Amino acid sequence: MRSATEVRRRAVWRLWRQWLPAWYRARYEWDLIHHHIERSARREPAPRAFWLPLLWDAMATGVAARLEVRSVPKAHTRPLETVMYSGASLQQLLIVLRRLMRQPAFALGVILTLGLALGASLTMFSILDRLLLRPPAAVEDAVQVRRVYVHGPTLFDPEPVHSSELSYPEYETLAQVGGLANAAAYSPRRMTVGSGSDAERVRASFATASYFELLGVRAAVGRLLLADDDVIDAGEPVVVLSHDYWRRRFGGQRDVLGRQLDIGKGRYTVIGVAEPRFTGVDLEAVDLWLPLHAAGAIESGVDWLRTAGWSWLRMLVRLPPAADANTMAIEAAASARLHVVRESLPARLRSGRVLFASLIPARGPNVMSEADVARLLFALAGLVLLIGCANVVNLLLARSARQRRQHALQRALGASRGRIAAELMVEAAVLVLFAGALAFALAGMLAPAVFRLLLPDASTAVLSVDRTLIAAAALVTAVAFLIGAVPSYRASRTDAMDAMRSRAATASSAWIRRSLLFVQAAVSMVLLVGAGLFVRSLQRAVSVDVGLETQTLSIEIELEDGTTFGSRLAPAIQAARDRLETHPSVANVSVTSLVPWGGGWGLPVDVPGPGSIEPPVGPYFVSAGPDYFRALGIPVLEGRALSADDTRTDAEPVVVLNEAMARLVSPRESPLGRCLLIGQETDICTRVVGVVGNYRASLASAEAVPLYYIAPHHPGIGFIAATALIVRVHGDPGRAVPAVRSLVHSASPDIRFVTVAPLAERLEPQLRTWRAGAATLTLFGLLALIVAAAGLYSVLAFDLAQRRSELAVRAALGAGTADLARAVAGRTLLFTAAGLAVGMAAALLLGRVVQSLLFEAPGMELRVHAWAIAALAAAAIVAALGPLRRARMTDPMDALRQE
Amino acid sequence: MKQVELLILAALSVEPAHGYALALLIAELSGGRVEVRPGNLYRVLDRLERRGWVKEVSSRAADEDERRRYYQLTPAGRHAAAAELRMYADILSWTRGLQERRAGA
Repeated sequence: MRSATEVRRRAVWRLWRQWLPAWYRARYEWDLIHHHIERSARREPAPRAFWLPLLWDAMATGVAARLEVRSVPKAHTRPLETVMYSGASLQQLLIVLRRLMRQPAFALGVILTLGLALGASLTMFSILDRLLLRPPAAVEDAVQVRRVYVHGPTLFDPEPVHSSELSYPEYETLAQVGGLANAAAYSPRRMTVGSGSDAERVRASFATASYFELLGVRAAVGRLLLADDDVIDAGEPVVVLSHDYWRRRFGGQRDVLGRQLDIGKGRYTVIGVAEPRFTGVDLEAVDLWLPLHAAGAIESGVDWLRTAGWSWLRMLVRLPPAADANTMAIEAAASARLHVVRESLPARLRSGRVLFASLIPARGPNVMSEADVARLLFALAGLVLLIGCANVVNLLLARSARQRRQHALQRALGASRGRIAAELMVEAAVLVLFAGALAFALAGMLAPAVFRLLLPDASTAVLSVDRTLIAAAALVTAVAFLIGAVPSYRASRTDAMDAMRSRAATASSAWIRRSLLFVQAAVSMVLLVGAGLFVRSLQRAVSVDVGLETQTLSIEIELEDGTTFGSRLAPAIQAARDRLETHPSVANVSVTSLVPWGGGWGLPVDVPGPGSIEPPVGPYFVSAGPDYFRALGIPVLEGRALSADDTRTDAEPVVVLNEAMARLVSPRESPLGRCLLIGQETDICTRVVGVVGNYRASLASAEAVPLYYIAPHHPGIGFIAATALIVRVHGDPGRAVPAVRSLVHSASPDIRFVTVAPLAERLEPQLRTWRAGAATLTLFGLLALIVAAAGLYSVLAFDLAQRRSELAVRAALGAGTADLARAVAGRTLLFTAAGLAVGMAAALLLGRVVQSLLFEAPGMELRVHAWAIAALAAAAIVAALGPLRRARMTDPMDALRQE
Repeated sequence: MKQVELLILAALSVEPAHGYALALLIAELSGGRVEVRPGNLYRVLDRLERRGWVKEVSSRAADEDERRRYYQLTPAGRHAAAAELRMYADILSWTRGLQERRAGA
């Protein structure tokens, strides 16, 4: 049993121990106890009072010990480790890597930003490379191979154009011009292979025997075309398959040699397969090659083959090796021969100049809008890269500002300026390297997609890995230098004493940050406005009224024996028409000799009075059934349309004109009742009974081609065979296509292949540039917006962190939220706004430059600009909200204490 | 340097001492006017040790408890104490000069 004193003593001891801090107890408890023991032994205090001074001492000591700052201040990082290396670069690399891994958010942010921006640039580079830089695959020494263009007026255009198509006599003559090592011709077209359920449409190409030899293409299996194969009435005409087609259709089996294929009107024997990468010299991939003379005679007959009035051949020549100086001479000689050949043509078509241009189509003399769009997108991708770099430079600057103390310490400990700068450059290089890898992967995925948007028919072997890799490496190096230069220069110039004090931000670094933000804002504005303009173009192009109902279906028929037009087609067409008429979902059906936008057949028209009409373009005639105009949705403006009575063989010949034709025939008054003499040397009067509305020649031009519509039987011309049907359906045309196709196919056993498509599809290629431009620019614009907003956020957050104490003092002195906001963000937002303004001005200027690429658009559209400003302002507000809210919620004491 | 520190350093300059002996020494040197409380004493000793002016040595005597710590002045501590005392002496001589001038004026 313990005595009361004992209990009290224990209690006192426990209390005493509690007052003292742990470290103190650990070190000095023993000393203290014995000190007290000795002291109390000397003094002999009363038992009661002994604990009072003890407790008092303990309390005082405890409080004093706790208030005293005991620990030695350590540096936040480990400077010695970064300075005391022997300078080996591998060690430096490892240190840098370790430092980056300790800050994953920063590193990821930089890698993502740069990766996306670089990815956009690489994507556009590989597309441009494919379009402009790379010659067709598997062509030997492609620089010496040229395409032949003729510069002069054509049947369709009085203004001279560069035409890549020649007639057969022209080719024959030009092939013999002195100085050419080799010449060949080819003509691509779509043909049907097989029959019945096996039938498929392929891209075929007629080619002369010299074609493969000129290009230096080899055979993968069997052999290629020889001179003996390319003769008219060859016993067994042959065909060469492309490697892709051979794999697709025949599974890559070698027993394909000797097989017989029904192609078009003839039957051909397979003699070989071309080497793997070769798909022809155009962008569209070719599936098989047929000998020009043999197959041409089978498909179109010998007369058509040799006529001078039909330009259908594309010509290639190979120049001898050291021929640069002589190219002009050869061209001149060729032009001279051209004039001789053209003697038999109408006067206005006789002139012309021969031009040898690059094998790459986009580099030829004709404007290729896809290439222009690709170039524009490439430039804009470069802008996106600029923004990304600006952002990353900002981030790096902010980070290096935070590390000023460390750098100052390093300098004080003896590290040279070069070493500090080198370390930051290595850091930048590592980040950019990772970003480059990400970008390469991105480009690999995006490039084929964007390319398909621009040119759906082209073969999609897009990325040339080696060239893109080289481009990527070059870009990465340049970017690394760009973004590493400024921060490392600034870091190496850190003054030690300045940095040791807590206020790390200086005025000059703030200026750099804000200028970069300015650039980002301007570029984002340009991109967004560009995207808006293209989107508006697309909207307008898609919804423009072309003058007829584009959802109407066109039907083209191919017979078993390969017939696609002419009188032999008539029974099948008639049978199809009868079938379609009875179908409930068909609203109107009509036969016609000419599908809108499907080319043209013209005849001279004599108008008693004004004289003969042979205007530059057209007029074309169309043989139309009674329901034609209703099916196409073309309004009858005056008089009437063609009726069923007019199609009787004994009916009086009548004609319906479109507006453009009507104006030609009778400029000031109504042409109704006038007499036209149609055809060669006729005096049969064809009476004008109606005028119908125009439709556009193409999306881009609001002009209409003059057309006149006549019944299938016309005394002056004979029987004009129908070549197609026009069908208007109730409900969704897209869903009706398969039903219509099978309906027509079953109408006659002679039918081999039926092509059904809405008329809108013929306009689709014209929409492509706007579609591609709109899609890609919107993507770039959004990317730029996100990157710029992130940049704004990081700048504001950094500024806020640097000025916390100042803001805290202001808040303590009674500054309101608005004042704080202005203090933190005022100048930054001013710079951003200035950037937006400059960007707007630049966008206005550029709008005029790209106007040619847009659809009927003014270069400046208020709505687009307003939307762009709104989007950017919204992004800026969202980006600024975070830091501003945090500024408001900062506790002043907290901020001051952290100083 | 605080006064307590100077007193401890001055006391230790005489001879190394353990805690209680040090307190007694200080009381003796100051003529009973300064009494260092034990808790404070060890706290200041800890501070002086961190600064490198004082170091611990274990007891040399054979019969003493091993855990008893003796404190000893380091050369740095000696220099620091000397400098501090010199400063006081200088101040004293200045003020004396001032007093004499006052007296003379």
